[in-house]
Amino acid sequence: MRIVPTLSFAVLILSGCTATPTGNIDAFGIAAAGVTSKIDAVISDYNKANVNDKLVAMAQSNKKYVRSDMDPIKNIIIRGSDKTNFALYKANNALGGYATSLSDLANAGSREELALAGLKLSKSLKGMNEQYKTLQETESDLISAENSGKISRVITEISRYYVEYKRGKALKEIIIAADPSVQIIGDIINDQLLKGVIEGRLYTMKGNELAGYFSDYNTQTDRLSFATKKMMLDEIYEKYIAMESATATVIQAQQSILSVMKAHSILTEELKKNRFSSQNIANSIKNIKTVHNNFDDLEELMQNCETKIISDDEKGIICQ
Amino acid sequence: MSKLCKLSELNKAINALNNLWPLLEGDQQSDVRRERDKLNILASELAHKTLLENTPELMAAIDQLNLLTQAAKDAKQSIDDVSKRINQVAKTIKKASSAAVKVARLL
Repeated sequence: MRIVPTLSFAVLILSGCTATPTGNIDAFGIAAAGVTSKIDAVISDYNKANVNDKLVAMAQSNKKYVRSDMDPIKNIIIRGSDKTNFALYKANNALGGYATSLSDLANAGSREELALAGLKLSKSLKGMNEQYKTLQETESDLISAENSGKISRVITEISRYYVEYKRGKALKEIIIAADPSVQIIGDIINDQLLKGVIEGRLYTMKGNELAGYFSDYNTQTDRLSFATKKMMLDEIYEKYIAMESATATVIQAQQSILSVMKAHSILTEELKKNRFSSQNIANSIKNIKTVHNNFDDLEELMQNCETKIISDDEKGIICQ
Repeated sequence: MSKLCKLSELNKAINALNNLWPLLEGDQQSDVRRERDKLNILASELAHKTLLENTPELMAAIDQLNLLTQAAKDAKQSIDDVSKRINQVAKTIKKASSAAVKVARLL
């Protein structure tokens, strides 16, 4: 049993090896996946706004309607099967899937699983020793309980080292190779799809609806009392605020995607220098989380803001 | 003019008409609103088309990212297999030693 002391020495050496901490990458993956789910919510809002826009146009015309007039509206809704054709969905899904896979990879081969496997190995060795003693009708051990534990610990440690090495290597290669794609996809989601299409259309569609309320008010203004007019204007003002804030969610989504792109870029540069953990990485991930939390806060802000929601360069989305 | 510029111009025109038609009355109002509706349909279709548009640059980036996502999944699988292999060794030892006892009893 000379192998045991040799392996114990190996444990000591391996325990001193530098581990590759992948916790930051896990945190990045979780935060980035959260951002893509928020972008999904923006797309969903855009869908609803399109349906509402059709109903607004119908309500503003003097036509009479029957059930079949609702059929074209059904076609506006982007169904699950259609989603696969939409650039925004495809891009966002690719980004979300990538973020989740990074997080999963960063957690692969957990210490707990390896420790459990080592424990099972130790038990099996002890079992084998007992079987040996029964067969040989002897009291002397083939492998002592202490040595069974040592052997399994050595195998677990070697495996852990191997797992960490393999995990770090895979993460580094994948993240560096993915960075150009992440930046291109992020830019297109941000510039073309969110800013170029959704933001402008949301604002305009809300404006279509608002014009209807102004028209109603204007046609009655001669006949109504001050109190009624004030009440109507209060209601219109609420809708006006909703219109202004509709684009705020898109701006927030843009800030979120930009923070993911920046964090990925920082992660790539640090990994090129073999750094899996640094203040820069930590700060960039913290920024994604802050922007992400702001996104949640925004929903509350939109409900509670009684004045105007604006995008401030320094303060982000605020109630003016 | 690019699609995004065209869309932006259409939205601006619709917004301008929305600031006009509620002030008008009768046929005048209906005419302007109809014009707004026409532009709105054009804008809606253009927006839809833009969202559907898959530029070669975007498609290449998505394909590349999907490939790397699969690589990450494969790497995870292969790493997870390490603990499975240790478990397998433990199971084999257990089976082998129990089989050895059974054989010994027969001899």
